[in-house]
Amino acid sequence: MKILFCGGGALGSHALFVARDFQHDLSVVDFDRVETKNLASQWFVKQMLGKNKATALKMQLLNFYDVKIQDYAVKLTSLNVDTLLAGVDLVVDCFDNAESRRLVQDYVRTKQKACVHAGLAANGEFGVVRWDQDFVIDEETAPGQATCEGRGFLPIILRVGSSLAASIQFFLDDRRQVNWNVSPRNAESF
Amino acid sequence: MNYERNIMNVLINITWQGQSGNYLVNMDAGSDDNTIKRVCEEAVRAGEVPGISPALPKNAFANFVIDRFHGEQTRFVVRPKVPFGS
Repeated sequence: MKILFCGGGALGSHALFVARDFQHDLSVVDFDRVETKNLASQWFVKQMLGKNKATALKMQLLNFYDVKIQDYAVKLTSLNVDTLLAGVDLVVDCFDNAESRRLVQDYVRTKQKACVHAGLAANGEFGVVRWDQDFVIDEETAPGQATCEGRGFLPIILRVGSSLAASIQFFLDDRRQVNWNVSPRNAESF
Repeated sequence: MNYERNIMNVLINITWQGQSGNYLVNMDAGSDDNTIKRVCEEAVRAGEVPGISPALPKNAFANFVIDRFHGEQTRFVVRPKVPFGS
């Protein structure tokens, strides 16, 4: 099965890290570059500073674990969405903005592709994993509001990332679609 | 006027500032967002939601989102927005 992670930042990088031994065809798309501030909350080592995130994840998985994935170092847009997603069996949306999430959602609904989304609240107070039919795209309340970029958010980021990877695993096993509510104190699946 | 109400047992999962708890209540499954938020606010203040401190400011859930799941057990999730990921 071909699985594409859309976004290789906080959630995407950690979910990919956890999903690395799934015996499937893994890939990631992200246009962004690794910055110093990302080392606090995303799965990147300092040797990757300045590199594209998708490429950095590919290099880390290959160098540390001998796992090969496909990297797409581009921004997902309406012009390339069909090229990137057409051959994909499962889309994993870890984007950090409503516009990109909408692009993914519109595409998977039109093409009837399996898709699971994950998102985090400002200040890391809550996170969700939702299969597409249950997912509502949330806009930022205000531009520039608090994010989960700083220090201290790794526990919730990892908890959401591993819940996302668990949902992918359940789906790969028997097509079960499991949602999660994740708070700093507990995680509940349903 | 003829109001059709669909009263049933609803499990509401509430999250507030990192605290999370479940509240089981009989209510109209078709209730609007404001009604659900008001019910939740009162329940938390009354100490009926284990895991969430009753010290809740007025309109605490004003900017929150309600997810509705109508499976075997009807479930509402009252949560903050989750726009971040990558």
